[in-house]
Amino acid sequence: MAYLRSTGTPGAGCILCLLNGIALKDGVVSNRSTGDAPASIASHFRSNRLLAALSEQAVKQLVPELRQAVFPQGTCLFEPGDIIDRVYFPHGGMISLLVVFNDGHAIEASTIGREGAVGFRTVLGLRHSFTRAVVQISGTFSFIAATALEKIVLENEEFRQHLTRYGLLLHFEAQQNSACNAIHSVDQRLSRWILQTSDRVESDALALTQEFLAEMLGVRRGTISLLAGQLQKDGFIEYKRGKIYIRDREGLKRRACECYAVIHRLGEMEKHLHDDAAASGSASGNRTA
Amino acid sequence: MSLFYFNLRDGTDGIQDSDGIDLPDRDAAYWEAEQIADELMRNTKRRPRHWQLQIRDADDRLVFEMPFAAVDRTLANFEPGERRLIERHAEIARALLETQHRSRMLIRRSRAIMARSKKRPYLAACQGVRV
Repeated sequence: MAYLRSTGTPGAGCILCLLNGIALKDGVVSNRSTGDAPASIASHFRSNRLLAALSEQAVKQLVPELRQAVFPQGTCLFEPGDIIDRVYFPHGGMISLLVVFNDGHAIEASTIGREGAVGFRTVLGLRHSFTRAVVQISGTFSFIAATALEKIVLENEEFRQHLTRYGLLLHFEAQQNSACNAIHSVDQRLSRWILQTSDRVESDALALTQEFLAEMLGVRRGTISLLAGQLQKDGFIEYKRGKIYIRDREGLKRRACECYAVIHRLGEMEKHLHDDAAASGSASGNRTA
Repeated sequence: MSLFYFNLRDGTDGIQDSDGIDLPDRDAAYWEAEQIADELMRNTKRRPRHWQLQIRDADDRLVFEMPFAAVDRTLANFEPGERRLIERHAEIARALLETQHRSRMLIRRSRAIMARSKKRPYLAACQGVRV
């Protein structure tokens, strides 16, 4: 992928990031510049679980500030060292957080789908990013200026607590991920990764090239090609035109390491966290229908 | 740049690399193969020392073979003589497994032909491979 290759020198911004910077300024669907956009934002709003859990007061403050756009695969949202000025809420698709090394190599540390947000730690006081955030599976994303979100969070104690708890769950997930990357075989990690990504995007069909997979798992494409070939031969997955289709989930689970069960449980806990917050909001009557 | 295919021989049917990788030359292909073998062996409980990568060019000509035992880092502390012995053993083990696998497939195929001639049900495919 061009964006990884282009970062041979540490600190160099990736090409897509620069391109994207222009695209975001010019061509984005904005609820201010186009009159009918608020309806689109409202219809998408609750498909992000974190947004769906917000109180009515927070929603009222948030919606005018939210922008929405479809980001293609490979879009880089921020690089390590960048000051995070936007917070992203996926409504579909998936964002990967990658740890980038000086020689340009990168490996995935976390994934975020429509259950969460990317960059929200900036409003909790951590302004700089330690990872690269890349759109791994294309989708619709809402985003908001960090300063605007910070103001809303300061006025909504519940929202702040909710974000903190969600951040902790993400932290545990990253912990499990790094242990797995160090100890388990590529074969096990590939199976775990396919399952985990399928959970994130809630689909059995994943639009992922082998090149992308190799970069996420920090191995060579040739390795992924052979291991994916083996999984295909065993009837667990099918690889067709750059898409992976899961054919035997149980078989994949047997092939994956124990980390999948842990990460799956954390994912369920994230969902419950949002559901509980949403329920408590509606019980006290301060939430939109 | 030319296209190199990295096929795996694992003692059964093996896995064919369908896409290939574009690399500048043979040396780059050698380095690539070393990395792939290393990654496939990394953190595995039973190191698949008997596996082998077979590197072919775009015309399906064999460029070189890379036995996993030859690049297995856990063997680094062995004397050269001992190491050659292990590599030789790995080669024989793979050849044996491949022969065993082929015989098994042949038996299945014969059974299928017999069953068909008697119009009886038979095993049509095993692990995605047509008998």
